[in-house]
Amino acid sequence: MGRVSYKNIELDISDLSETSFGHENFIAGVAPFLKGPYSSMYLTRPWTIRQYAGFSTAEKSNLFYRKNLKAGQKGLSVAFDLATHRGYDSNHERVSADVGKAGVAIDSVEDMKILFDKIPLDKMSVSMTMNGAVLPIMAFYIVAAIEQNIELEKLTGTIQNDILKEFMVRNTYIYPPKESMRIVGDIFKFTSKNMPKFNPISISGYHMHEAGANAEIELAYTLANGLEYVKKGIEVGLDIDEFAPRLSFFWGIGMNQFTEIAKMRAARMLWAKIIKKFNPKNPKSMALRTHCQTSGWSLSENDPYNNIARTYIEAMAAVLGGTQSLHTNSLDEAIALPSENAARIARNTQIFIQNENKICNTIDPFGGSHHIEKLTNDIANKAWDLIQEVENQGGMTKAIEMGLPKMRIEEAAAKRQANIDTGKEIIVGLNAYKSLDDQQVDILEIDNKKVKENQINSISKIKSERNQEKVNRILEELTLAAKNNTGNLLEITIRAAKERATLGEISSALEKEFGRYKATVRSISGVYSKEIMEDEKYKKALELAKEFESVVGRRPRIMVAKMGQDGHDRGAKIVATSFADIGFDVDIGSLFQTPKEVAKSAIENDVHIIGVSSLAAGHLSLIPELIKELKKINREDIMLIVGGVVPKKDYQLLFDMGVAAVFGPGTVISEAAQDIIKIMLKGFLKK
Amino acid sequence: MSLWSEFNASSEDQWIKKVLDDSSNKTPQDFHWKTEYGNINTFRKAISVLKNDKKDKLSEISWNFEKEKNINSQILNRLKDGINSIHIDGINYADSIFKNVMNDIIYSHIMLNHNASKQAISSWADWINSNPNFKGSIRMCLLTKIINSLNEGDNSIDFTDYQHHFQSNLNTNFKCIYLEISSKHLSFNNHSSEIALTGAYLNEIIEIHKKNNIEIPKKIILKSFLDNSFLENISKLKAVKSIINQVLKIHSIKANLIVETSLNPEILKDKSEDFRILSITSTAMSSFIGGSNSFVLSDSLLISKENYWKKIAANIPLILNEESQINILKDVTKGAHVIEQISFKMADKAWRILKQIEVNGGLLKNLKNSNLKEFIKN
Repeated sequence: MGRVSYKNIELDISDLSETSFGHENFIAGVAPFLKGPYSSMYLTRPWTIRQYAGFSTAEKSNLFYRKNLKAGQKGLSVAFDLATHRGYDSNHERVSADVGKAGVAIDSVEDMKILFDKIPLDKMSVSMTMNGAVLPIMAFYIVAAIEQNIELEKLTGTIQNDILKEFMVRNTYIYPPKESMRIVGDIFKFTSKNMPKFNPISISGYHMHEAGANAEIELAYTLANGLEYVKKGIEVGLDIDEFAPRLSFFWGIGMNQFTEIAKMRAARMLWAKIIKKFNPKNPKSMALRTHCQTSGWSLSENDPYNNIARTYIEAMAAVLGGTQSLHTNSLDEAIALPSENAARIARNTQIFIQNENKICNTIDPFGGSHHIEKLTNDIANKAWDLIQEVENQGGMTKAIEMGLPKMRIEEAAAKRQANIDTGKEIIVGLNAYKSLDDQQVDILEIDNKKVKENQINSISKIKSERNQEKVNRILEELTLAAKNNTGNLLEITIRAAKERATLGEISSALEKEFGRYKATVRSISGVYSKEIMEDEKYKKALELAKEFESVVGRRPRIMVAKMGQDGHDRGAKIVATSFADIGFDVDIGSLFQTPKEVAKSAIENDVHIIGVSSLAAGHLSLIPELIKELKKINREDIMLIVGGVVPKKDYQLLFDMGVAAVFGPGTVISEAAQDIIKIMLKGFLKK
Repeated sequence: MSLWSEFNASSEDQWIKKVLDDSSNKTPQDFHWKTEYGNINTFRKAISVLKNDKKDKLSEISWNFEKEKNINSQILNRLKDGINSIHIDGINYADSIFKNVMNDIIYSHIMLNHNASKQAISSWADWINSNPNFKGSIRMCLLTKIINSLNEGDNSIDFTDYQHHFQSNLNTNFKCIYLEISSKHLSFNNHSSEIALTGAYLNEIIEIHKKNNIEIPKKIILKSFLDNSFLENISKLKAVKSIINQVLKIHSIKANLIVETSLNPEILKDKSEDFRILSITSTAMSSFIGGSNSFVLSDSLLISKENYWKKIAANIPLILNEESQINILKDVTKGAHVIEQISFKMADKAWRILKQIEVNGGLLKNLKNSNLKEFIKN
């Protein structure tokens, strides 16, 4: 029998049957921009590799930036320390643990000039994550450029300036919502006239994502915030086309690959739909351009080298979704600020995708996929319903005042935590496939004392050399403008910066009139317990809480405290709500407290234990202070535990100080609760 | 009512016009992705696509063991890491290999040497037969035999060992046709050549089976090596499956096709450990999406031989499986215009090459006559 002949056989093919959700025939570069804001997307130019960085002093950060630019990074993204975010100079008593830790310390225009030394601002796009103290930071940047002899029209970059999400999730606000929106409006006015290539806002979903929002909540609330900013721009007298083309966005990208791709596609279409109602003549007004960052929350402290794969997966979702720029997190994100090696790998991840994966040879490669188009459709529709809900309540500012978005996000976060704690959601290395070895990574440590000294000396030098009278006059003008709603606050701040007013002085001048905002602390209940009630560890924690009550005579009482200027409270809120469900009485301390204030609150609330949430590396300075304060008032019996991002090498130091337990990221809540109750019982019985 | 009724759809021509308006001195072809199998036009919607079977989920995360020394402890370490499948490559059977291995849960794939003795083959067959709950396969790579024989100048290739492998007392459920064309056999010039030669190789095996009265098994295992070109990897899997299914259809064979993928270690030469981690992640990701049944890791993919780094490598497909939601039954590539276009063009060119090889007498004859220089590097 001879061989089969292939001569007349053709390849088996079939026709593609199209399903229609109503949006598949949209393209890139034309509203509603399904496939991207630019018609040729990466075919012409890949996304910008823009790694967010900053730490300690402006000199050290400057060196780091220049090294990264040499190694292939194409744009700068500046991280400021929490003292700067909250409008305090580095010599303020409230910020001693925060200076230089979570970002670079900037107190004056001199610091800004050092930060951008040998970096030509007319050629380098600079993104600055700043919201609360946006006025002085913008002003310092502008004056630094002027003193580099650069015309403002040439400046490219972005200032985050998304204050609404601060009230929702991130908490680095200074002034109340209405006054903060005034600042946003003034910045829009100034930049639309003087800095046409600069994005005056980065409307951010990232922080909602990190706080626990799912895709449709992140999408809906971010776009609703965007709508609020658009209304502000119109209110201050700008035509839509004068500022809308420069509005930019910022998404968080998590591990759910296809959902994240769909979210980005849906976002572009929904934004175009929202802006179309304002009748723009320039089609660019409807184009959503975005930066993305891979999710920090998704990374684990255990087996940090697993995070290389996680960051890669998330980066792929961002580029398959069509981002314009991208930050990839380092593998040690869950432990500390990135080490040089970790930062190198994170940057190389994007270079790898650009050079090896050949993604830039196409546009929207999953476009047309039934699964992706269905996801896009579903997310768009769900998000649209949520946006309508917000609008029906009077807009996002009102909704924020009522606390609705924050509650929704916290509910989503509590649900997800319960799923992880029960093992319904698997995190490799955390609740499954754990490693027996523990490979340590080198971490970047900031000697905060030296940074503070450096900054304090710089501040003194500036103050001694400037024309104090001029500074005072301009700061008074600023306060008056704030009071009377006159002038442009950015324009006045620029003049103050030129005369070497410090960031703290500028912020105080505004605070005199605006006040410093204090959020109402709210908590949800029942969400965590609903998801986890059959879990054995949870049941055991409930039992132990009851046992404590019967032995001691009252329920275990915990105060969840955040000290310093760190406003990230996802973990603290989850602990608060879940511990309340377990049977604790929970007091949630206000944000930004000093150790003295925490000690005072702890006594007033008669707590058994203080749970300190630390995410900004302040633990080694703030915890000893708190212990000192408790000792001063003879309440050393109040136990201390620490939760959050604490390098393993610091654990023993904390134990030696008297901390009873430390819980890192990924701790199972009910297991932590059991441990805490046992510690408390032991302590009680000892007495 | 659609959310988008206020917007107008755009055609391919309108998109191209917009692109040309936004750029200067360009033609549409300047925006095509030029490949060896044709130009990929990202603006075009796919109309004709390959016929493909239902997609499976990736169910095996596997480790390949080539070194006999301490093999049992190597296996147990990898199983502790979370893999659920082992490949024993060219190692003779010994009781101790599977000590403490739960053979009813773990997949075990036995790769026989091309010159395995009758005894070696029978030892493995006896062991498999004595483990009624055994999951896995036993395979022999014919191509190694063919290439070695040709290199030795032996044009009349002896298939006795191969026959014996199939005529052993092994339970038919574990017999398979094994298709592997790794770089140790042939280095391809491009994807279409690789796909065509894979199809031609399958056809040759089927013809050998028929000629030597060897029963054709119900299982075809394809081993495919991937590089870092993400979309091409996904498309290649679609294309090669389509070609294989078509070859089977021509011979009226109903068989279960299982695809195993691995990162091609050749692309890792002189590369850092983090490049390797990224490459493993990239190829694992394209394996999941492209419809692979099994992703195979090995010591050769890493620089470090420490258990910790092997765990990190094993964690990569676990992370993709558990955390990324990409291991789904739905074929996410179905209808994706760019991917459908790439896989169609790859398969179309491969089919033409395959036909040419068959018209010239088949793979074996072409290898004997060194007629494949156009498609292979060596």
